[in-house]
Amino acid sequence: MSLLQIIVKNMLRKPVRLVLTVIPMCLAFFVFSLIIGIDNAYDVEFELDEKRRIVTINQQSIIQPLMQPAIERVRKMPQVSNATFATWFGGYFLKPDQTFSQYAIEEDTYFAVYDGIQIPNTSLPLWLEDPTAVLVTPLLAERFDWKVGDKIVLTTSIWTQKNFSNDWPFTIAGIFYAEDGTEEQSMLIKHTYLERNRLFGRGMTSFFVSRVRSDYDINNTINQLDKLFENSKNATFTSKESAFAESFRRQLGDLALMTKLVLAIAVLVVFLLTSSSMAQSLVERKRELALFSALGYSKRKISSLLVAENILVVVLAMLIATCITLVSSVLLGQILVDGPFSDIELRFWDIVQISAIAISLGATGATLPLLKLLQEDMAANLKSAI
Amino acid sequence: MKLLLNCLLLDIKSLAQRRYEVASILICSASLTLIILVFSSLRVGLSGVIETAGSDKQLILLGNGSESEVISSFSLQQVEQLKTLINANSRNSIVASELFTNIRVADAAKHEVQVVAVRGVSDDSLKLRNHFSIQSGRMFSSGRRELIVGDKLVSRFPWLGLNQKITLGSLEWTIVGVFATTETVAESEVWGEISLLQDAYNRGAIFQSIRVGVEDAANAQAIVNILNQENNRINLVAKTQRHYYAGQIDEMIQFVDIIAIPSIIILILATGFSTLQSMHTMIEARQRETAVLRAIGFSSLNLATSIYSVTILISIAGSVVGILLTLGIFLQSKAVILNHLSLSEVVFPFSITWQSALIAVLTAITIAFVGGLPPTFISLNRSIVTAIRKG
Repeated sequence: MSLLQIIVKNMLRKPVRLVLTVIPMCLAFFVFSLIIGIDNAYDVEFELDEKRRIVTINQQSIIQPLMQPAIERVRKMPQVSNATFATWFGGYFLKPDQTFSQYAIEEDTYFAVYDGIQIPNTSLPLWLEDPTAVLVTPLLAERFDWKVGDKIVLTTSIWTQKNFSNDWPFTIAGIFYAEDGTEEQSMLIKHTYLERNRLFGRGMTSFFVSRVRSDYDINNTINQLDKLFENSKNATFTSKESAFAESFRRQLGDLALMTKLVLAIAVLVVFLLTSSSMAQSLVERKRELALFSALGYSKRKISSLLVAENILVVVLAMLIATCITLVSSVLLGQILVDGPFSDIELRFWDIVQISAIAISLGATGATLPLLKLLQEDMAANLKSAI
Repeated sequence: MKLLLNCLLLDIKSLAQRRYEVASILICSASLTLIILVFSSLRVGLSGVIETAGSDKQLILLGNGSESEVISSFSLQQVEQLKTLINANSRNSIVASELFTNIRVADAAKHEVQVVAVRGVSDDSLKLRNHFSIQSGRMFSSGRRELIVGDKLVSRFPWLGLNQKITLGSLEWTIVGVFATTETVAESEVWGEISLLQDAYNRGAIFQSIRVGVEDAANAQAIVNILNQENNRINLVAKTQRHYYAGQIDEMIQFVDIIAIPSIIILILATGFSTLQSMHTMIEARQRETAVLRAIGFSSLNLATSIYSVTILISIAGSVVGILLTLGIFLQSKAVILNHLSLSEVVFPFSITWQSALIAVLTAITIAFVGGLPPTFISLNRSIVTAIRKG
């Protein structure tokens, strides 16, 4: 019998206990991977950091504006290859609860910074011609059934027109494909249109987005950019695009702590299960282990067999749980339209990480009961009845 | 009965032999109690904020379409128009227009950065706040760049206390007082004089929201109806204060629930099965011993009841540990959750109530009760002879 066979046979020896051990372990790993998956749904760092973009807002608050001319100083920085600015429009379509993101963008520079955005040729004629033209994502066009050339009105409480109206007319120029990892429903408005027609706030904008050249360090660039405006009336606060996007999506504060607590408990449950089942099997197999010892197996070999068996059980539970999470993420994605559960995502590295946790739990869980065994004189157990 | 007590005594004495199973049941039930208690305290704390946050006698008016004070705005003209309209419909009402924004603040070492709400208030605003009082320091003096902060905010972030300087607009402001009010959400805000704050932000006579205090709730509802009908002429949304805050807090509670409910359900199942496993192991390990006891006259019912009661006792002990842990860690602490509508943090106390503690303990015991049942039944049905032989 090969060693692997011994391990598997030993594992399957008490099927009832194996099942009873694996089920709660599976559940614990399920909640663990679920929370990591939900966390990923909020976490956009993965997709965005390759673009080397940084976002600058007013240091005091995200709702305080920046002055447009200040961007020229950013553009002069050797570290920055492209920079653009955008302003929140904050409007809704017909009813106050029909909201989505609208950005007034500087159309000459925006697409150089967001070079992953694709505009199909069908959208271009109107977009280039009409000052009121807007581009929308396919999902948004579908939501309100907008077609090319449609005239729509958005209402915003942020911007008042020169005629004192808060209703702004726009023309749908067509669709654009947003970059992966960015909002699925958004609209791009021409900044010049907003600028010419707004009553207040001319010359102001909400945030700058700059791209850092690949031969410069991003964090240093962030520091230097903020230093440029340190003593200006509008001091800036710059962060990586991913961190900026996350500050909106992620539920910060104590809820994050709570989810960590759940993760910790899940790990604890697995640990307890593995060490208690290990302890029990050691008691039951005392005599048998003594036999192994008598046959010439070293203590180290015996204990590695046991540890391997334990790891195998935990990894088995982990694999089942990960499969359940993957299947349920696909199912939930089809059933639910919105919310964190619709977008659960387990990445390759997460699975590697969970496997590493499983293996180390299997090993450490076996250690405590094994330590005692290693101190004992195994051969003495040959005599014992149990 | 005496036999049962004997069994129980025997079981308790022999617990040390099965420390892994005991630890497993104990820790599982402690952690389950902890997590249920923590989540329910968060929820109860948040709901407590609603109860006291808003009064039915006060209204909040926001610029059309905005659900939040952050992006709502009124011009001075609109404020005056509304004042006339409200006074015509209700005598003795107080109308206060306020500025609202938020600001990023950091402690001296810049380790902790928080976004807090800033409100520009006038004398009328203070009249509207029930039981407004200065807890320490003093009120800001008119015409000076001074601020007062809510006591909840200071209790969570002590570095926002007296004499701390904050940059608002382009100038530094000093915190001179700490205030308390029954409008609990406001206790997470920083207040200053409205006209100075408007200057600091170069806003001119622009206001974010209008608060109206009227004599009674019926009158308040009547004014809400009138104002919302006028919707087309004057751009606004009118709500009672209670309604306004309840909407915001409901959204925060949903955020808590969306994480808490699935996690708790799965953890309940996991700990339930884990108890089942521990019980099973415990009973299996003692098969022979139990069989011997049965052979010398202990009834199997007694034996099973005793091991079952021991499990439940352990899980009660676990729950108590869980409650003590929760009390130890969270009793004094304040929770913080981001209010998505005002884009600022709301601080509220963790409310650990005896009701939620009871629910947590009952859940843990039920888990032990249900989880322990199958192995107990199996052990009852085993024949004595095979059990003794099997060892």
